[in-house]
Amino acid sequence: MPRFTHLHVASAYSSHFGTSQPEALVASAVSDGAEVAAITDRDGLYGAIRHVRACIAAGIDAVVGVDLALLPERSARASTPGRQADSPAPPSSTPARITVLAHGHNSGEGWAALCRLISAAHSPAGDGMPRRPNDVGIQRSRPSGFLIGESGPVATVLLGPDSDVAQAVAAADLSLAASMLAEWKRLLPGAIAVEVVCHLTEPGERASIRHAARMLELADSVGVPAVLSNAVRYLRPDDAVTGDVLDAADRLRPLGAFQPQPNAQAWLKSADAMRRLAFLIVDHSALPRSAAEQLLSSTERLADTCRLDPREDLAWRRPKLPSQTVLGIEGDPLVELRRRSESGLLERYADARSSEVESLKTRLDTEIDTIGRFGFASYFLTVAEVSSLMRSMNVRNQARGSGAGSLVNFALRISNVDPIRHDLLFERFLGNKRSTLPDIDIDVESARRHDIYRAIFERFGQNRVSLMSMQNTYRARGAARDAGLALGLDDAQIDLVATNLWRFNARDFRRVLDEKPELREIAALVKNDAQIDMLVDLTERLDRLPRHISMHPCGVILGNDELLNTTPVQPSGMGLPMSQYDKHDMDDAGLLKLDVLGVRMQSTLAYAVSEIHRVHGRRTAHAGGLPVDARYVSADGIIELDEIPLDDEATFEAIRTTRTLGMFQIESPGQRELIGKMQPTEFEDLIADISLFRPGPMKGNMVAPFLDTKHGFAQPQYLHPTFRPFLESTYGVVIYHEQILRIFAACMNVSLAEGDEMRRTIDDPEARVEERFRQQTAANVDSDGARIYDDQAIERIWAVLKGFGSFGFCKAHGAAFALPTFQSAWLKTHYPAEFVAALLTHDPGMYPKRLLLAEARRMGVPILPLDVSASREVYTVERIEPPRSHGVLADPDDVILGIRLSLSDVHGITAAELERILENQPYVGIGDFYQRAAPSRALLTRLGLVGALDSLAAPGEAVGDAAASRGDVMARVRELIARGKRPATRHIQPTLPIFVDDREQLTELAEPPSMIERVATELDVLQMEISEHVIESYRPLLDELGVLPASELLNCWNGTTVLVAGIRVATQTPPMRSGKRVVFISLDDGSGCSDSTFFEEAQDRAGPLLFGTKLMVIQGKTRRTGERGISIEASNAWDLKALWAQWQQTQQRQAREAS
Amino acid sequence: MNIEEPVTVELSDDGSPLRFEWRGVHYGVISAPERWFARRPWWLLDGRASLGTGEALIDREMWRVDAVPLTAGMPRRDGTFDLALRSAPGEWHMSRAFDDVLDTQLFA
Repeated sequence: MPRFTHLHVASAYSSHFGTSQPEALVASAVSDGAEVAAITDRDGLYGAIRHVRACIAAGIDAVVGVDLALLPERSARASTPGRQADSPAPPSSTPARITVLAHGHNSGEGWAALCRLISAAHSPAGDGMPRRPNDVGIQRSRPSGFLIGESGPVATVLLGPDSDVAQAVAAADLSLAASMLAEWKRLLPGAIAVEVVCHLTEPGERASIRHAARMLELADSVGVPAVLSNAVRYLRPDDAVTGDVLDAADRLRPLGAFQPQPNAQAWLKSADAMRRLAFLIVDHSALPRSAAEQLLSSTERLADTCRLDPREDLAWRRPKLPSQTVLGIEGDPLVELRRRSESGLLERYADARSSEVESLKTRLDTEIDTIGRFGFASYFLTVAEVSSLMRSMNVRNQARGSGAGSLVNFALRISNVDPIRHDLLFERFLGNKRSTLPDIDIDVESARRHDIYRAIFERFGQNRVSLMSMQNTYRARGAARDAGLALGLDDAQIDLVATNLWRFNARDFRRVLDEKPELREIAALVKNDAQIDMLVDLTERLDRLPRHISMHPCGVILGNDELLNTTPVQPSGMGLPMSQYDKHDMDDAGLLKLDVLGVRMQSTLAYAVSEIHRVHGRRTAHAGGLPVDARYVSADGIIELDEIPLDDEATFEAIRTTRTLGMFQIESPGQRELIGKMQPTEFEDLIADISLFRPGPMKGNMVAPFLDTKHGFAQPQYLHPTFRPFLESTYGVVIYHEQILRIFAACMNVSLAEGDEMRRTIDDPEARVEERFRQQTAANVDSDGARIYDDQAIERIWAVLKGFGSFGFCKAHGAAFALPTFQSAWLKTHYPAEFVAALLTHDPGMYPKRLLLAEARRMGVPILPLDVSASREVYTVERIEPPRSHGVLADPDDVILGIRLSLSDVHGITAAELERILENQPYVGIGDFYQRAAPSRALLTRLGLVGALDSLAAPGEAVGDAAASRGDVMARVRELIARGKRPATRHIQPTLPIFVDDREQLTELAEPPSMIERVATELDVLQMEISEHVIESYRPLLDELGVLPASELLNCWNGTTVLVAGIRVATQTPPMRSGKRVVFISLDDGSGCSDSTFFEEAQDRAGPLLFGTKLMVIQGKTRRTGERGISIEASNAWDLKALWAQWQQTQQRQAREAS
Repeated sequence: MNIEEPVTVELSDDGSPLRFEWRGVHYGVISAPERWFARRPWWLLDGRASLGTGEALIDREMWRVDAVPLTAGMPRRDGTFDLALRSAPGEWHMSRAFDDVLDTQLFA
């Protein structure tokens, strides 16, 4: 059967247009006998690498192109001067589109041209920012500059049914069409073809039989080759429905409110069907029948020209690293790496004995030899360069992941975890067999992430660096929203559905309708409302389709000089160029991606350190209760956080209280439970804690033996006495990948690298790991020829190795994570006020700020109210001097530190307003503030309501009754707002007299706000309450119900039935091995946090309350989880507001009846 | 003009319309019939749109034909018609007729 190649195919990576994954399209082409498959996504190569990968796997050749909008010529600076007048104008306002196919087997020239043309189509708007979607495209005069190489064309432009030529044909203006086509031919000699498409639309319309026939005749008469395509946008006719929904999402209008696609014919038709179409078109044309065969054969000729050779054209999977010149090194990068590592090593281990230094050097040599064997030296130098760039910018950074296992990384200061001290292995990071670049991920301060990106671009050059992108795909909520929009549902209906969808795949929507209690209401709607029924179908259809591209949160691509010939780039939201490839494309495209991950905790740590320095200066060590000669505190009070002692007992004591709020990674309810049980005493315990706190180990009973042995209830059980040296730190329990490597190495007498290879392939039958393990371990004998491991031992060890696969954790990863955990705990212990101020400023955790405020109060740190004269854009620490007695200065140790609330949390404040307020601080009166800081009226009111103006109300006097004074403030605010105009800025004279004048008469009108009103206002304006916990408003009801404060839960016996109430602070649905869903809800009631677990039955009772309700009352049984841990197994839940309304009604009725 | 009335259609060997009877008048097709696909507003119709069932939701097969009345006594006037294939095999609809004179006659 003769083949047919579809040259114009949009995949799902044409967002809001295509519906089918590249892999599915390729598979379908292959099953129809295709030798070549093409992908031509709209606006970019978003799916191209996937497509090539799928083609290679299927053993066919790939063709890659792009579908681009044709923009109108800009009169001033387009094409050659003088030709402008001849260019015919496009006949319609719908933007025309063209398709550009790269030619292959030309050493990547075609690919490079395609990349650069696409980048040009996205080149930034005037302000450096991304173009609006409608402005992405290219003028007709521009492709020739990219596509005509020195030795002829390197790509072909297809003029299909959406081209300007086809628009003219559809408008029956054949002479205009002919002159346009002639112009294209002139611009792109030998690089142009007419793409004949017949979608069997209404006769005369674009892509109808007639229209296709006219296009074919036109190509013939102008002398341009014609090819046949189906301008494919979906795999099967069925997908056209999905296409309709995507069209609606793209236009943000419901179906029926715009011109939809004409029919459902744009699918990947079989070669047979395409041949029949060719003959149908020719039969309706004036051309002889032979024209059909010609059309088909010229299609295949073009396909052949465009076949790519991945190796030659794309340098498939070949790493493209920054060159030595860019790194500023001469000669062999490996020599340079060795030199830098060795000198770094001496710095890191300055105190080491010479025998230790010898063994360190041996290890360093082994690592460098391995790196050299793979040719990765420039990779490490590049990462080191980035890391040192960050240090020079004074940005905290820390490598995460297995990279922390490398001594080279430690020596180069890429990582700050000592791999020797924690027994971390290089082999787990870089073994013998790796062919792709290893991953080194660096955590940095989130607040400085963009600065770092800009610095990297500057350091390595715009043409060698790009951000990585990511495809955002439809999840259940987004899919339901867009499907609802397409159906024209009203917002309330859409909200009702969308807010109740919680973490499941959209494609399972209908199946889970009857399973999930929170979907009960929706399930009922589905039965009665055909539109909601349809919504479920459409939501399922959208599942996982790419929606839009955005900047990846951390990926930076560092390439060689060829980067822009390898990937198209487009401006990211922050203005820097980003690649159109995502992380799954990196290895195949041979691109080095560095994960520079913004971590809020790193910003928090940095801010805490700077606040400590600002507030205490030279007294820093004293203020934190540290030894005055502490090495890690500089003379002027800067703490070197990466050097603090990891055995600080005060810190561990604080961790063991389980009051871990704000401590990195150990603040969640589950972690508090585990910490309570574990009672960590050393840094190794923290590494273990973080490694164990995952579904596998928790369910696999690895925790219990660990804890029992740690607490002395059991003797450590070593799998074999020879394992003791490396299992001792985990009390005999195998937790880490590193330990598995050592077990393999010990048993089988193999290297650690081979051990890692065994670990990686343990489940691969071809690797025969079990057979080799049993044989070699049995053959392992001591110097007397006696077996070291008997058969029983081999059984025992193998059982552990086999069962370990899914549970193990890379210790280097855990150690890298445990460092900020310890650092945050240390800061919280020694500098609570500064640390909480930093938490409030950078908000790194899972809990709302109200909980942090409560925690500060618990630790005796007062919260200072918002004050326009004193508050900054961040939370600051203020010294509250004790009153002087008898004119004597108070002892500085009696100074209390308080946290001043930040202006940035005031709802609706603009950056400009914030800046003006800060610039003009302090203020002498409300009028003065209104005049000089010029806040909007709404902002002035809000500031007054939360007390930020209180300090201006009674200058010179001690503020007496705060509530009464607030009433005055609001009166003054209303008076100022009521005036038409703001007083002119020239009146510097404070306007206090007016205030005094007005007060007399206004105070009477101004009712001081009640506590409930104040809390409500604060919540509204600041999204947290300062005066009183929100739950207090419901106190009478809570007391009547007998609700228990969270702080008293620990006094309960196991199994006590209790009621708790509070505002929801966290919801988690961790994965469970049983596959059943468990929902954890944490409530805060001001006294503390209660953690409730909802199993199936309770979920069923709680229904829609599970995910939707903020204020809740929960009933359940207490469950003790350790000395200091307790949680609640929930049996039921209620909406506190609803209960309150009922209760008030009852109260009123009773009152009426009584009277 | 939209009609949407049932018609009886006689097909040629290749499955295209040859003759049809509409409102008691027989018509003969006098040009090469042109097959095309119109679309339905499926979102307004009752029913579902689950994955895999969408094939029939959008496309509506049509044949555009030029035809003249064959029945004696009628004026021989060319008209253009869209004959729509219904979902049940062999059932057809007169979807649209394009003819000014016909318009005035029908709505006189």
